[in-house]
Amino acid sequence: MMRKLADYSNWLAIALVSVALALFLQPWRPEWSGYARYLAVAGLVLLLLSMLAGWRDIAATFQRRQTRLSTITITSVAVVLGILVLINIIGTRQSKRWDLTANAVYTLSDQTQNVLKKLDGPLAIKVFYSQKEMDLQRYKDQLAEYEHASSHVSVEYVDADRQRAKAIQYKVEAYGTVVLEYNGRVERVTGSGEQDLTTGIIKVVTGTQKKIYLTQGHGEKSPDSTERAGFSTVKTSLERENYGVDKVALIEHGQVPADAAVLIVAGPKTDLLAPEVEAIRKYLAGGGKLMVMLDPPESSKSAPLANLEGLLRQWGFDIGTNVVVDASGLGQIFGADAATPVAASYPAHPITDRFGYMTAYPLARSIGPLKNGANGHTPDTFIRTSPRSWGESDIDGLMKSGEVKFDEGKDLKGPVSIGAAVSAPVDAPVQTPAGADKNAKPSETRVVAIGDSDFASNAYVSVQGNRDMFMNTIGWLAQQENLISIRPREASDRRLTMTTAETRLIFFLAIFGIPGAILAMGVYTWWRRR
Amino acid sequence: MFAIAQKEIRAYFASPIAYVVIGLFSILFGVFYWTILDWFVKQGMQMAPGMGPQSLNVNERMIRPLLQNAMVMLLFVLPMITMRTYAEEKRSGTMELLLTSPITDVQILVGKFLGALTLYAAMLGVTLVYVLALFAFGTPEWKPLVTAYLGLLLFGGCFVSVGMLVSSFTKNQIVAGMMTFVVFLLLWVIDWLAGSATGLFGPSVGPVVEEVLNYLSITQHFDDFGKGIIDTKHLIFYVSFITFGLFLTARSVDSERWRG
Repeated sequence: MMRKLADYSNWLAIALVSVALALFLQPWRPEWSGYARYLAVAGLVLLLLSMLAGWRDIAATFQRRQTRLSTITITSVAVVLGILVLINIIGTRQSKRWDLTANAVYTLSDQTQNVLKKLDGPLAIKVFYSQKEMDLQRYKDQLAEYEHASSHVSVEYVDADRQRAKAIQYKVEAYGTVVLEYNGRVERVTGSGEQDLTTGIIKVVTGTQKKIYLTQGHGEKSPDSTERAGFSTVKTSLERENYGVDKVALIEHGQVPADAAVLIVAGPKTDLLAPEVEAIRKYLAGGGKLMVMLDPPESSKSAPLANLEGLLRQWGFDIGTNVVVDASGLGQIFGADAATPVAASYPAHPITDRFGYMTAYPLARSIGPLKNGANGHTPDTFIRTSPRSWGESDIDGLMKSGEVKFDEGKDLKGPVSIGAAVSAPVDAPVQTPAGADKNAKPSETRVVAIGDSDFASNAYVSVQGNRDMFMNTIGWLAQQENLISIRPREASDRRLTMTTAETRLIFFLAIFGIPGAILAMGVYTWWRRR
Repeated sequence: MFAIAQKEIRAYFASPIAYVVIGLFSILFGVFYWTILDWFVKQGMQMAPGMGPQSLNVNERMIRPLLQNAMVMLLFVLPMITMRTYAEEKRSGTMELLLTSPITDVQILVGKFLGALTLYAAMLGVTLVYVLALFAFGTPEWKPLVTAYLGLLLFGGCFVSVGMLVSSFTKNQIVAGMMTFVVFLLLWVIDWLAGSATGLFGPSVGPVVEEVLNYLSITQHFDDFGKGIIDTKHLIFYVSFITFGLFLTARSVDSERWRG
């Protein structure tokens, strides 16, 4: 009777445990997996009871030699496995690592190590890649070191083509984008370089918002306006990259706000007042960043913006009283006329580094460097129109008839510079804010002047590369490009030089010579043993 | 122990089998070698120094991918070495002799392991001849070479220990070879399953399973060796793997005595 009961309960126990396991593993009803535990416990209790009931039988089985030996074997295997698992767990937690490559290519710089050591929460790194179009190995090699340096770092590789939803969710627009997530904040980086990655990590960890101010009060473009001429699209783009955007009326405020990362003067219609320009001048002297977008005068009788232009002239900018006309016809590709000059290639400058899009500037004036600079400042041109364009000085004629031609001597010969940038070390050493990384680059005054404000307005910002041009400019001004400077560690250039004869020799040796010799030895042994 | 190893090595090299295995392997390796060498030399001629996305480093761009390819070949060749270790003894009836001889099981086991590993090392030695030839045409770094070959030796050691375990189960060499191949392949691709672990086991257990599967992937641990990095965790993994494989083999051989 007892025996029979124990038998049944055995089967019941096994059934219960199997059902529990099935419940636990099934993906369709996750809420059911809660019952799995009760079933499993019930099953185990039954099993225990039946074992107690039938202990005599079980003991008898164990006394048989074979069972005893196999039990010993199983136990010893379990014990050895347990010890090895333990060793491996400890081994992964505390491992030592030696990089034996000549340039220590796989060793992270001290700066990166420090940044990673300071992490106190999970940092999720997602690499959006394309199977076909890029070499993922470089990302893997680089990020493996980040993962190894901090247990907080976890790396995930997302196929951007197959997992479109995820790419859209993280607003990824290019292959090779690395999304960094920390503490609810998100930062995007392109490339596998240590400099870019660590800069991105610093940004996402500190999370400080850089403030961008746009001056108001002189007919400038407004970041709140959704009109065609407004800057609301640009504001959205800036906010997506973690900038704060605000307006400021300098005449009320008396000075440029202390937290301004960049001050933008976007297409003023009337001149700034002397105290306002004085405020900007003071701001620049303390390492400020200024972006002036200056449209051409509406007619030859318009009063010049003497104060503002005077400030720019002090920084070495040459502001032309003209409208740039582009006869190359490039603008027609996207329905613009000759008064919309197009830039398709750019002079070397950090702003336009790796930048390959066309940009268009409706109604622009020339802004370039003064011939010999001013006060030791010589701006660098970074936007230049096509060679078949010129700076038309007959503004009235252009506006009335729209028919103009290049007048040698009167007009500015193309290619015309319509955007230039200058930077200078801060004169007086400003106090570095507390907690600033001492590896951070020293602060610089930076000024950018562009002869057009419409290119970034709602109507035109989506044209070709205009948005990127604006964002790049802001990025350079805000000194966001490199928070730290890390010497890139490239594997040294070690190549092989072989003559044609040598390649041929190696070919025969590799495919026939060495294998042939080995096989011949085999034949010899076989022949000798016969 | 060493006597057994010597006997094993002599058995390998006295029959043509070792030469055939190594010779065929070296033909394959030679083709891979020449293809990638030709590509690399041509790259060097086309790309001016300092130009291009990355520098042309012979270790990084040629030797590392070459040795990774070599590992795939080992997947096919190694079972041919290990399949006979115990299966042959069983078939020819010398297993009883071994079991009753005054030499202990462990001595036999380690001896056989060393024997097979020596044959494998000879294979690696042949590839090393190819790689060393590169020093005539450039200046490869030698330290990453040392780590890579250390990694390859340990990696092969794992396969040899698994192969011996499988060979101890059966007296049919072909069955042993096939089974070893399947087990190798499983260990090779086990991390492919890791990605879907969370979907299969739910969010609580999934990540753990994923981590374990990734850790068990035998090739993953070679990667750092291939780059020129020595990491103690990979050493520990490989040594534990070999130890456990040999231990299971010892138990399996021992059970021969009392199993019916």
